[in-house]
Amino acid sequence: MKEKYQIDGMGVSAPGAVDVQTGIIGGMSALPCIHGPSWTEKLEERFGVPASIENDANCAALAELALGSAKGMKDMAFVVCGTGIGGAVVINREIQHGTNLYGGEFGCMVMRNENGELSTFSSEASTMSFVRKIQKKYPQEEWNGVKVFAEAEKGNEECRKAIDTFFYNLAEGIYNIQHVIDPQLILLGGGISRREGFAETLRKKLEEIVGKVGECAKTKVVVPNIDVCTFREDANLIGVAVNLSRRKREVCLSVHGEDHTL
Amino acid sequence: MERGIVCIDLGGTSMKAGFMSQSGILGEQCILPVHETLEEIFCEIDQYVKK
Repeated sequence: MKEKYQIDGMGVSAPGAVDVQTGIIGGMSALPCIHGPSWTEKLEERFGVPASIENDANCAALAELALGSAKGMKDMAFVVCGTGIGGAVVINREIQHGTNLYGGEFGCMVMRNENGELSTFSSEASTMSFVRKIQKKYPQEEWNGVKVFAEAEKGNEECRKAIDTFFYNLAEGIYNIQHVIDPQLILLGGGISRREGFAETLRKKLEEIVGKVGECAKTKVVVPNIDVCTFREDANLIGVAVNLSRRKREVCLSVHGEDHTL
Repeated sequence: MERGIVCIDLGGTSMKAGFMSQSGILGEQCILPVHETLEEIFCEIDQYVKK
């Protein structure tokens, strides 16, 4: 690569509480060695080029903000729905990391389960929420999200109900995010967001919630503006480059003739 | 010689590496293993860069 390209910089996206100032990945994970040292210091020392690091969901949000579905937006929330729920908060085109680096960790929001017990947004509105439910109902089979949707379409009432609850819970969380941050756009990511009709179903659930809340609170509420993300598997890598060009002015990234040293 | 950025997406079981050119083209991607020590992880990145 060194013979073919001139490397202007190096960027990393990582899971967990990433401190972009120090370059340290906080918290704990399955890979203890990644926590502690400054990645940016080590990369700059080793490769002799400017380096940056950012949380993976924040990288994906930066990719969407610079080149994707949130291009040109000032304020947005990015909700990634997978085996859990993660995300990012962007205000005035800047990622909001927060005091404890928990900005955008929507999965930690409190939500009640079907029995009224304390639960989280991640447990009640991730793809795992309905897969887990169906797996418990039919333990003799191996379930995943695709199979639950397929069975619901074939008329399985349990699968249909589990998916309906999932969409309602997801809409409830999105409604709350809207009224805390009040962004121009709430962008949805994760494998399930690529399903046909995903955004339409979610919009219907949001309208249902907005109608109910508006009625009982007797106040005007906002219908969240939602959309699905543009980038898929490449989102984090694209965001890594956008992040580096934003943090290190000497690293220039020009995409489609536009300057992304934003 | 084309200029650009080496991008690393670190995951729990592997990492994805790619090169984004200054003009915004993402190419030359590959999956690299992650190891138990940071030094070994940096060696993987090192080898990817030298490749």
